[in-house]
Amino acid sequence: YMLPSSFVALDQMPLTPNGKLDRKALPAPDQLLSDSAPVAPRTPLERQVAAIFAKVLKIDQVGIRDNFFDLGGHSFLVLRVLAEIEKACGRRLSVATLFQAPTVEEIGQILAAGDSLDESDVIVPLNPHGTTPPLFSVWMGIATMLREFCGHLGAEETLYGISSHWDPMQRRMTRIEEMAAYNLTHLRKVQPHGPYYLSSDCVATLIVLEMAQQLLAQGEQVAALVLIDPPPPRTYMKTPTAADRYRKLVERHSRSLANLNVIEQITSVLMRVLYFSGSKIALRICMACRLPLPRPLLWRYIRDTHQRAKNNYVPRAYAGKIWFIWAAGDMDEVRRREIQNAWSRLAAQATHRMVPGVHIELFNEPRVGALAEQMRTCLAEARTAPHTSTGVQDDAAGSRHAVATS
Amino acid sequence: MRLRIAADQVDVWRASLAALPDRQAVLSPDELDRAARFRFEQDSRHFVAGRGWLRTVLARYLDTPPADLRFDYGAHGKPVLSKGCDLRFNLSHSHDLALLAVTKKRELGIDVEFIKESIVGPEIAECFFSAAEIAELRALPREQQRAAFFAGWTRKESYIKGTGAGLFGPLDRFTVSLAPDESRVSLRVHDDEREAARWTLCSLHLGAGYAGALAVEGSDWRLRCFNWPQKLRNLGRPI
Repeated sequence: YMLPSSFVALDQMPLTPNGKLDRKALPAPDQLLSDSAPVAPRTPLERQVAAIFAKVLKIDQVGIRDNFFDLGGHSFLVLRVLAEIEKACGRRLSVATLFQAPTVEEIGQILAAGDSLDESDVIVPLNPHGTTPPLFSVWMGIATMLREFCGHLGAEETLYGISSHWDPMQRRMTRIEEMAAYNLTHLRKVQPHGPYYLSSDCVATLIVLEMAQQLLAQGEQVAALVLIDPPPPRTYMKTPTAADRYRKLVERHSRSLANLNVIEQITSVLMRVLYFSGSKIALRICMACRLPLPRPLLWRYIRDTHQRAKNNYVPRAYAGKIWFIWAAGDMDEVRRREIQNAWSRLAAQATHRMVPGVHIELFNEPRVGALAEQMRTCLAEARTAPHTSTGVQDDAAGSRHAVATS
Repeated sequence: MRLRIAADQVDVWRASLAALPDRQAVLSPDELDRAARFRFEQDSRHFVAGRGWLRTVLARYLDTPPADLRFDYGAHGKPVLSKGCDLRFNLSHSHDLALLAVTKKRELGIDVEFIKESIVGPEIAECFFSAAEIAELRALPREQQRAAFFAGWTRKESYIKGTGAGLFGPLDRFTVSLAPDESRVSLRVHDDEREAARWTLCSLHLGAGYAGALAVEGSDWRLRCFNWPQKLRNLGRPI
């Protein structure tokens, strides 16, 4: 308890003519406990946020890396800051945001990204004027990529895309459950209550599955869950051994090395190893020093976080019906049967359909037409199934859901 | 002297932060670490004083040395005593006043807020309070709005501190009554009647300049209020 509360660096000790320490000449220790100088704001947005912090916390200077709570912020002041930010920038950030991004710099990043990536961009009204109850299709990326699919689906089918292109740096979501909940809050602004029609591309499978699970848990009806060429549900397949995984890794790389000579193969492998480990180190350094990530590292970070999120997610048994649309061209019969059986074990009811083509071409011309056709069939089946007629018929668009402004 | 508390009792202790002794010696390493992270000495001092006081008071109930107490933290950061201990507590401080509520086996939350003259209550309420609360606030004459806002805020805070959700839960999904002088605060949780029935909220009258509220599980409890470090005498009573 005898620790000094602050340190002041001196070039030399002031001495009296007698050679003793001249206490009166010592500089007064300033108020600050920490001895790192606050970093000044660099952009107009950061200046604005820093000014808000300073005003609410009643202090003179706020560094962009100072933690709000270390500056004396507490619950009530959190609300004040959020209210002020809303007043100044028109964006209402959530309390969780401030807890997860408690510095001027981080809030500045979130607000800045918002300009090109508005919260409302999550829901893309691809066809809000159809006559059917809306289908929400989760797309890992910007859902405008679904436009061709939408066109082929037809004018009657109401379609909203959900852009699950979340950036872990801004959204700070590392778990499938969080991503699903996030998508659901936006989805429910368009359609507050079920029955819901959901689908997704293969990459977002786990997210849309979790969304359906959460809706069911909340007492909502999910009339249809349509999965397009999904990857196998990890927990329902036998776990790959380390040898299996190693073999897969080698297979994946050897395909691209097949046509090279030995020297080229070695160089290529070395380059890949270097790049892989180098980027991992670079990522760690950037994160530790809180540097903004350059594009390639950002993608690496997003991919790693996605992968970890998928690995950590445990798909549970699903109490409803799932329609599957598989790409016929991709894999051998045996493997496909294996995957289909795994999914059939997960879902209470499962229907498996096929479309021609390989996985990656499904949403593009010329395969997308067949995909859209199959989707229409599945949706028609779901609509005529008994559990959707709960006494309130879903009629023309506009009555059962609020139309998002486009 | 050991402090005793019956099963249906809730004790609320009140202290002036400036008058509390510096008890850094009883803090744990992580508490000292937290204290060191504050940028301003005053915040650090308040934190140290508050935690030192918390340990001192709880130690009297548990008949253990203050430095031996170990705290765990809930999912959203609510401090609790380690498993196996019956005692529940919640701490709040604002400006110069610290309040500590203690009970047995009931969840509880307490909040105190210094009423700042500069706050425009309705502005913040508009962003975070429930629709019913905003309406009630707007209906009041202007000069009563500040007191009502702080009454509402402390009641909401005490409830969310009681449940442990803190500010991570949605503030606009439950409604409290805002009238500053009422004896029994009403709580309505949207979509969940049973939840509202679980809790009893009451206002704490702390004198000019402060608003306070207490939320406790159950309705069959009695409140005792004490000033620290005076001898154990009933000095304040909430209404």
